[in-house]
Amino acid sequence: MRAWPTRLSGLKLTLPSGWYTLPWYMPADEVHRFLDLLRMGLEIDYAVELEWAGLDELAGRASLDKSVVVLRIPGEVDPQTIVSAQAKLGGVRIGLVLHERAGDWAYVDWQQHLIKAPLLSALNRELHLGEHPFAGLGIDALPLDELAKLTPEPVELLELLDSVIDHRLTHATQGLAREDWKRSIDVAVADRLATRLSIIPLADQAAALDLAIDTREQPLWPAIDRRDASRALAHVGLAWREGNEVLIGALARQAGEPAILRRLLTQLPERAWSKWSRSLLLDVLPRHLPLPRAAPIAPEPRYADWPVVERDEVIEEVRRHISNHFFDIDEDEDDHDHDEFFEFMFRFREFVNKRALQLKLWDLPDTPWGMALDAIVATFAELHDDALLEFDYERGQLYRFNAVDQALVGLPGQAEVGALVRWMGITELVRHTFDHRRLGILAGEIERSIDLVNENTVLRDALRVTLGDLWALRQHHEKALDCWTNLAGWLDRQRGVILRRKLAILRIDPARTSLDEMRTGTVMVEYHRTGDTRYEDEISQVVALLSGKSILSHTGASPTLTICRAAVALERQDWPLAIHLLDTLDESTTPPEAARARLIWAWTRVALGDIDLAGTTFEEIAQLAARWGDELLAQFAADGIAWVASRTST
Amino acid sequence: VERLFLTNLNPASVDPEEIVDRDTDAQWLHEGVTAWLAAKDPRPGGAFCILGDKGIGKSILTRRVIAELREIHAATTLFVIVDCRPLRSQRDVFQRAASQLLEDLHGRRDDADPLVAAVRAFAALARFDGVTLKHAHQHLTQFKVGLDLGGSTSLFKWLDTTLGISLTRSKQHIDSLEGSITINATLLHDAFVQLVDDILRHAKLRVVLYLDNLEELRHEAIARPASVREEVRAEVEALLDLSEAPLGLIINMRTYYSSVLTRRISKRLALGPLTSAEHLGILSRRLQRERREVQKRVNEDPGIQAALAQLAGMARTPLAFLAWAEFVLEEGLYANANMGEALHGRLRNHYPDLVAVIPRIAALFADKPTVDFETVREACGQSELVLRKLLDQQVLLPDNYWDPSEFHLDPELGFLVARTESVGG
Repeated sequence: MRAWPTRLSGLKLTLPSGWYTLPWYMPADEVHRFLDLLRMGLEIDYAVELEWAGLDELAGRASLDKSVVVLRIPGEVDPQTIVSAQAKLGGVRIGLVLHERAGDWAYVDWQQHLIKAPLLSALNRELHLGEHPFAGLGIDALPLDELAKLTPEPVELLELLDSVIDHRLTHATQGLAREDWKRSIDVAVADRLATRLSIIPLADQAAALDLAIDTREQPLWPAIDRRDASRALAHVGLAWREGNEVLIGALARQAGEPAILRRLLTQLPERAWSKWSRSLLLDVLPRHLPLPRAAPIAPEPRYADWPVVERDEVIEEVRRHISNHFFDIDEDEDDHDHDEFFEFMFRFREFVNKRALQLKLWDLPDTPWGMALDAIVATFAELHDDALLEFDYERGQLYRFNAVDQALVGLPGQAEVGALVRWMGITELVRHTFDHRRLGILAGEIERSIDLVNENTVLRDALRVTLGDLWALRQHHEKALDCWTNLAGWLDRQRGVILRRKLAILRIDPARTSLDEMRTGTVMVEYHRTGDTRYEDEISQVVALLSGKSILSHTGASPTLTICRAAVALERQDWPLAIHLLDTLDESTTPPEAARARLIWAWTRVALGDIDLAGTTFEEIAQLAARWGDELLAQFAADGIAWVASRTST
Repeated sequence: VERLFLTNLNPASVDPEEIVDRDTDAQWLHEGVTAWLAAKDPRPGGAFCILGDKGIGKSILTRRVIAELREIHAATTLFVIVDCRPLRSQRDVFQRAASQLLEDLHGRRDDADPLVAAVRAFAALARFDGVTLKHAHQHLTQFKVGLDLGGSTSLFKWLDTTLGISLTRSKQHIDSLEGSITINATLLHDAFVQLVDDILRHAKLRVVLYLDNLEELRHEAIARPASVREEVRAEVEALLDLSEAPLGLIINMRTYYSSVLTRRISKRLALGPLTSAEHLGILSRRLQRERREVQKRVNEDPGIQAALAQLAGMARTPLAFLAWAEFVLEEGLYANANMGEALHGRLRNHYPDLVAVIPRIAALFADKPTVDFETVREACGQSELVLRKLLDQQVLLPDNYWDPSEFHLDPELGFLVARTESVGG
């Protein structure tokens, strides 16, 4: 969006005829804007921009005493020659000399007193008189004085104002109240500051940024220790330097403001951030970012597949382990019951390992174990019957399993087997269950099973992991984490792996999830703060996974890898690198990367405090979700939009 | 609180129509210049100087008088107004003066008139710094119609005798010319005096030259080494020497600049401060250009009236009062009980880079009008840079520009030290 929000028809300037100096750093388009401003305020019809090379040809031939004249002079020309050149041109109505030689002291005082003051008054009138075309968009709530206090230069004030209005109108859906305009001011100020800082040679940018940030409370500094930085800032018009002192200008002093610092992060190259300024970022940015961090962990699932309990290696291993536990029996033992149990286990293992729903019922022996197996197979078949399931959910319990319990009555290990069957059935069901109430019913089944298998730590851990998944799916992440971490048996050794996998599940509700409130978050806080080695292994496992090396070996370079690397950078609180990586993401890539890229960007922008852009991005994601028919993605977007709305005036 | 926008108010306006009172002062200048214009012999010239603080109303007073005189003496007098604020040297002043003379002659004389050619030739001369004789001839030959002025002395004769520039030379001769000349400020000064003399002799027109804001000619030299200030002084003294020329010279300068004045310029008038009532009267006059509802609101709202009264009492100059009143009304701050506090926002807007320093500096003036250099420097934390910035932006003004050992505060910042009655109190 681009708006031309000021007309300045009421601008009246009083500027005596003569030559004035423009600062060397003023870009050509802003010089032209300044020309327009003068022509309007002084009612001068003619303007001319002269190049040094053609000056002799023109001198004495053009009558310039009714014109605004800009004389652009190469840096190598000495000041005395400039004076002679001005004299050659004769009288001018208004002459502006721009000597392209960077210096330590930009003369802008005349602009401040003769132009900016009446301009500010004219702008105030224009924005508040109710005749402005954007009056209906609440432009009178724009706190102009917040901009005016940042610069002595009128064109810079206008440029800032344009940016503020552009930004606000682009994000009008996020609100048009004073606080919304103030956010736009932060964005405009940071972008302007970044533009100026970007002119500084890369080798000096970090030192210059450090100095700017450092002077929020103390604008005057000895320049002797920070010579290059202070000179660099002066050269781009952000400071004045004389002798051994440097005075940092109002705009540059904003660099240390948290909102500005966060925005600068997205506008300056990674190398502009020193170790010191990076450390400052940690104070103004959230330490824990479950949403952008967790989002990219899993390798490229479709969004619709995201909130599943994954059938990953861990889960498979749990299955094998549980099966072996039951089959770890002495086959030579001469026991009738054992024969039947052995037969049951053989068949059950076949069922477990092959998903042998095609088992022929007539093959089953007519024994209690055979009948139990018959009940189990039938129950699993019923779990695929939507009508029966619907009926159970309506009644608040999965009565399908009752038949198994009844068939197992009196048999050894009935509790464990019953729990095992429930665990297997529910891990199947949970893939397709998104309804909060139904998830609760499944959790109830698991909890009842846990109570029955106290002696079997392997099965109990498996049940607890699944219960954690169910809690997570129901947004109770504290409880989920409690389930995932408090494992007592075989899975305890795998806790790091389990946790890593489970982090992915946290994506299910970006709006209400906060790792800060969670144990994992606390662990990471402790680790980052204290370097406590107790957490090192756990953290390093997470970071190793996030580093994407394994992903790289499988996928090569890809948007996903970039997302993962960005996530690692966020994990390590290396914000400049993270932003750099995210910046390289092409949001136009095909789904699912497009959505993932946008989603991680949106939540990162939330972390950066740019809720306007985050809001807009969530809205784009919502549109993509509608186009792709991805209901879950639509839910993510809706959650994001709601989150943003809670922090704006809308 | 509703904002009240004054769409036509320009506090810095020097439109003669907007002046209020100062009749006695205006009469002094009017009579003085009239007497010089009436004198048979304009030599020596008449020189008048209006002194006063920044923003006290020197320019508007002088322009009013010139406007009146122009109405009476337009047929016999050329009035040249040069505002020195953006100018840096005598050369700049002479260029502006030449431009003004041409403008005033335009309509009186056609372009082929010898006198117009003389002014144009002077304007061309003012463009030369160092120039070859050949180029000077080539360029000035176009004005040879000026040779028709005749007489024993003229600008063109002066060019010939002083600079060796003769417009009667043939093209062949000009092409063979070698060597170069430098047109320095002294030569320009002499040429200008000769031009004024030509205007007087040949057109029977007198010239009144008004140099406004003379102290602003490189005012920033105050914060530079003394040698730079001496250069400026030389330029200014040379301009003041125009009081010896056959013209009426009117000079406006701030009081702190006045020690540069020579005895020759003995007709001086210092403008004093106005009363609160006069400040309010000035605003009232300027409000007549505003929309009727704005006028009504300002005149009838007791809160606004009380605020304006408080501001009028605080202000030492009309410029300060008008600037403050505009800010307070447009920002909707007139309900604030303390106008001094209300004006702090203006400080932020107008001095963004010094906003932290200025209140500290202003505090020095709480109980005395001037403060010595060392005290100021101490308040600046011994920072030469901050001091330079304060002087460049004219936050601090010297008591004597040529010997800056004592300083006072810009009257527009007077709200930082003024003791005021609360609105309604």
